[in-house]
Amino acid sequence: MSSVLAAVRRTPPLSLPAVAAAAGSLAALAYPGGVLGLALGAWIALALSASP
Amino acid sequence: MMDHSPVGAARTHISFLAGALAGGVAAAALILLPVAAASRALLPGDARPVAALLVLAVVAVAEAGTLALPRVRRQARQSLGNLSPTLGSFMFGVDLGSGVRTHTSSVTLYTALSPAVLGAPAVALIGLGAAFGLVRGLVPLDRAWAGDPHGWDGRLRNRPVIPRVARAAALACALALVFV
Repeated sequence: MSSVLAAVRRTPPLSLPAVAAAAGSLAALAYPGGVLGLALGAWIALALSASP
Repeated sequence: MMDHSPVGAARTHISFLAGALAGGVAAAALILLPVAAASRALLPGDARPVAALLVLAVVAVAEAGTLALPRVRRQARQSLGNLSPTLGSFMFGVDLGSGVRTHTSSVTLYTALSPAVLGAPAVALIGLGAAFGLVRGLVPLDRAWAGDPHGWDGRLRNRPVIPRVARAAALACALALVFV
């Protein structure tokens, strides 16, 4: 846990959720039918959270 | 609501994330699944992609600011502060992860209706809700773990590219779902 916290502290804002969304999108390239919905949900959440 | 001891903080963070995940799944089950069922019952198969694209067109127009779609303007429930830290964190996670119980600052949320109108399988819609809830829950934790919440806010304000990229990526994923 402490190494995760230390890594997060060194990164720009939203990097953790952005990495999750990007990972979902990359997985969707390999398996679009099953994973595109996950990537969509992740990006919507990021858009909502990052909007002022 | 937050317990600041290391063990207590970890417990509230896990409760919050579990609540956000549950909220996303519940919203998908209660909103997206009925929309998908109605779409399959009412629209012929070849009309559903057209309807899904129409949803995305409406969202794109609303994103451009030329159309106002309803938005949730409620703040987090104050009564959650009366619950135990673990339960309060869980319930706050449910509210945030559902996307429909607390303030939303973007109409991008409506993009989620596109795969539902398309009549996507239940597992894909539940997965969408779960991913939404999980990432929605990760954002406050990312802020808390950064160790400098106000600095985190400032750095986010100085990067308007982040919401733009996220909105574009959401639209691209929704479009890909229509055509794949």
